[in-house]
Parts: sequence; C-alpha cells; structure tokens
Amino acid sequence: MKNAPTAYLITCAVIGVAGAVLLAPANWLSTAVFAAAPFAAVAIAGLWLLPAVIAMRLLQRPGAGLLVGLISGLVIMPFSGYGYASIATNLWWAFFAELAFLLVGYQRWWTWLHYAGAAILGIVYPLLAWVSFDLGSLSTPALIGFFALTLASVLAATAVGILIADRLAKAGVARGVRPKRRWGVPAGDGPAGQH
Amino acid sequence: MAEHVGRTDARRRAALPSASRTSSSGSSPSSARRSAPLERLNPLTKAAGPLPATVMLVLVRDLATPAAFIALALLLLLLGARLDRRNLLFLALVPAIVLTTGTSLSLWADPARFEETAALLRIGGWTLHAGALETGFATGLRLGAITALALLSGLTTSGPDVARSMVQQLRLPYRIGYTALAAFRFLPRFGHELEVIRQAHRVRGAHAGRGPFAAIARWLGTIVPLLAGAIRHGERVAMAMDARAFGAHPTRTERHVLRWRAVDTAAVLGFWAVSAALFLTVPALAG
Repeated sequence: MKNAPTAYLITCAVIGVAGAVLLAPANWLSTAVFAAAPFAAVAIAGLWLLPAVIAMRLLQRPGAGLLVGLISGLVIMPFSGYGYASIATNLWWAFFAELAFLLVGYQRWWTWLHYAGAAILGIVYPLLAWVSFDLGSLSTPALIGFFALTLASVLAATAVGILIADRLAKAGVARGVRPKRRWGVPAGDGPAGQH
Repeated sequence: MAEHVGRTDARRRAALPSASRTSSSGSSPSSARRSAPLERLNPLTKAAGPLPATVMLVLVRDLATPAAFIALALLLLLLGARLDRRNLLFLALVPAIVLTTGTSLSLWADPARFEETAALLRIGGWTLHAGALETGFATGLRLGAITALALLSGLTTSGPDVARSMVQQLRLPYRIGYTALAAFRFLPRFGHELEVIRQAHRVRGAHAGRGPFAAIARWLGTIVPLLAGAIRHGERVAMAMDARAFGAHPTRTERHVLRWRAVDTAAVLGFWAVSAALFLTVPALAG
C-alpha cells in the first residue's frame, strides 16, 4: 500500500465518497425498516457491499475494497451519527468483497470470485447477526426470509457493482491505475478523441 | 533559513492566539468557538472507551444491563456534547429505536416458544405472550444501547479528525490518511458534477417523461457518468498532488496536531471501569 500510486488512492477515495452518498440515506432507511420488520431490512444490505465491489472490479488491486470501505465509513460519519461504528461497519462489509480474492492470493480476478465472496457474506452475516438480533426467537418463515433476502441482496448488489465497473472501464476511466492485463472485461477505448 | 521560518511561525502564532489554542487543546481545529467537553477528547478515546461494552452488549440477554448503558451514554452526552438541534434529534432516536424495535420484534417472535408465559393481549387466534414481549424488548434495548454508545463518538467527533488521529496516533500511513482528507473535499464536487450531468441530459431529452419510472431511469442514468466524471477529476487531483511531491518523504509535518493526553487515558480507563462495574452489578441488582 505504501508504494501505491496517488491516482489509485484518490480513485478509491472517489468511489468511497460515491458509496457514502449512497449509504447515507440507506443507513436511515435500514434503521427505519428494521424497526418495523427486522428481516426486511437486510433487503438493502447489499448496498454496503456495492462500492467495494465496484472498486475491486474496476481497479483489480489488493486492498482497493478495504480502502473504499474506510473512506466511505469516514465520510458517512456526520450523516449516520454512529461515529467509529460506521467505519467498522463499512470495513466489515468491504472485507467480504475482498475475501475471495484474498483467498486466491490476488492472483486471479475471475468474475465468479466476486459472487463467491458475496455468497460467503450471505451465509456468514445472518449467522453472526443471530446473536445480536436474537434471531432464534423469530418464527420460521421470518427466519427463512432473513436468510433468503440477505443472500439475494448481496448477490444482486454484486451484479450491479460489476455492471457499473464494466461500464466505467468501457468509458476508459482509471486507465492509468488499472493493471495492463485485465480479467473479464475489455480494456475499453474511452470516448472518441480521448486517445 | 530555518531560524527565519521559525520566527515567522512564532510571529504568526502570536498574532493568532486562537489558532495556537485550538491546536494544543486537541479539539476540532476548524471550530473557533469553545468546544464541549467530549469534543475536546481525542477521537480514539471515544472509540476505545465504549468498545469493550459494545462487544459485551451483543451477548447480554437481560433488560436491565442495556438500559443502564443507555442511561450512562445519554447522561454523558447531555453533559459533554453540544446540545444543538441536530444532536438532540439523534438523542431522541435512542428511545425511538428501543420502542419500535422492541414492539415489532415481540410481534415477529415465534408464539409457540412462549406459550407457557402469561398472555397479555388476545386478538382473534393470535396471542401476545409476556415472554415474547420481554425477548423483543431485550433486543430493542440492546440495539438502543449499542446505538447510544456509538453516538458518544458520532456526535462529538468530525470525520477529518478521525482521519488525522488514525495517522497521528494509530500510525496509519499518512498517504492513506491524506487520501481520506481529500475525500471530504469531493463531496461538494459531486453535487456540482451531478447538476452538470442533469442539465446535459435535459438538453438532449434523455429519459424524458413523467412519473416515478422516468424519475428512476433518470437517476440510474446519472450513476456511470457521475462516477466517470468524478474519477477523472480525482485523477487530476492526484496529478496535482504528485506534482507537489506528495508522499516523497516517510513522514510529514501536520498542520493540525491532535494529542493523546493524560485525560484521554483517564477517560478510557474510567469508562472501562464503569462498564465492568455495570456488567457485574446491574444483573444482580435487577435479578
């Protein structure tokens, strides 16, 4: 990370700020929905994954997801009121966008690895939430809904993140930062007249 | 040369007594007014103090312990935070979370599990049992307590100060810390960029039409151009930073110095001690 180009760091910052703009209202929406129907709140849980997925897909560099999570956590602080807890939350979700790539040592950038990381999150998150939300006390349909919605939400967010990142790559942004040989998507020429 | 710079610096500081005071008090450098007691603590103090209690609160199941932590956090905030409208609104959020979450969770609870507890409310074939209400409100109070503890840092700390304290106390590489500081400046830029894209879309009649679906299409149509424009702007900012030799040296001088003082150590240890005392005594007293 110490030798990372400044353009890479700043690109992550931009994606992090965009994520914070998205998450500031989502944060309140999920609090309100959780109060009414606890299992329905996880339907938008995937949004927390989205900025990190975009960064990992677009930049294909180790640490991009976590850096984006840190930045969006910092920027969202005044809007959420949760202080350092916002940073911890965002880092925690971003970690799962990185996890699958970490497991293959950042040597492969197959598209399905994004989905694999999201699927791990879709299973791990409800299990960890079990204790804090006391899910054992919920009725069985509510419980199945909780698991299914979490999984659907994170997988959908991953698909949207990949779509946005590929569109950005096609538009030719962040070309100096991305590795020369990209996995998955064509490099993209950028708008006419740019090269 | 160095002497000359030092003297200029001293003269400037003499001319601006408020600047030297804020930098030595460790509070938010941007605020000229007198800051509230909690705002003067190091940002890390307000994270490290409540952290053990937050982790422990996830595991408790009774009603009294989270209620005690809500009382503690609200008391500290009332005494130590600035009580403007925004902060008071956040404080009101805590009881709102407890009430709504507690009620809805007791409604969603599995009735079969609490059949042997007393029935409180009967509507048709559906019964609200005392056990379900208790479990629901235990979770509601727990989430309220975790929120209240998070507000201790959230309402008294600015984002840039957290980034600065991560560099100055946690030894996060300063290139990452300053990237975060630059990120705060991108927010207004996003608004400007969004306005330009909307105008361009309107001129070309893209996603024209009325109704919610056209509005959603318009909103979706701005995402990629907004991000692309912002990343291009970011690349220019990065080039400007590189041109000024950003990151050329292993360390750098800080404009705003945040200190870890004895009062920070005392605050963290004090909060830990009070947390431990509450966890040990409250369940016994209530039980």
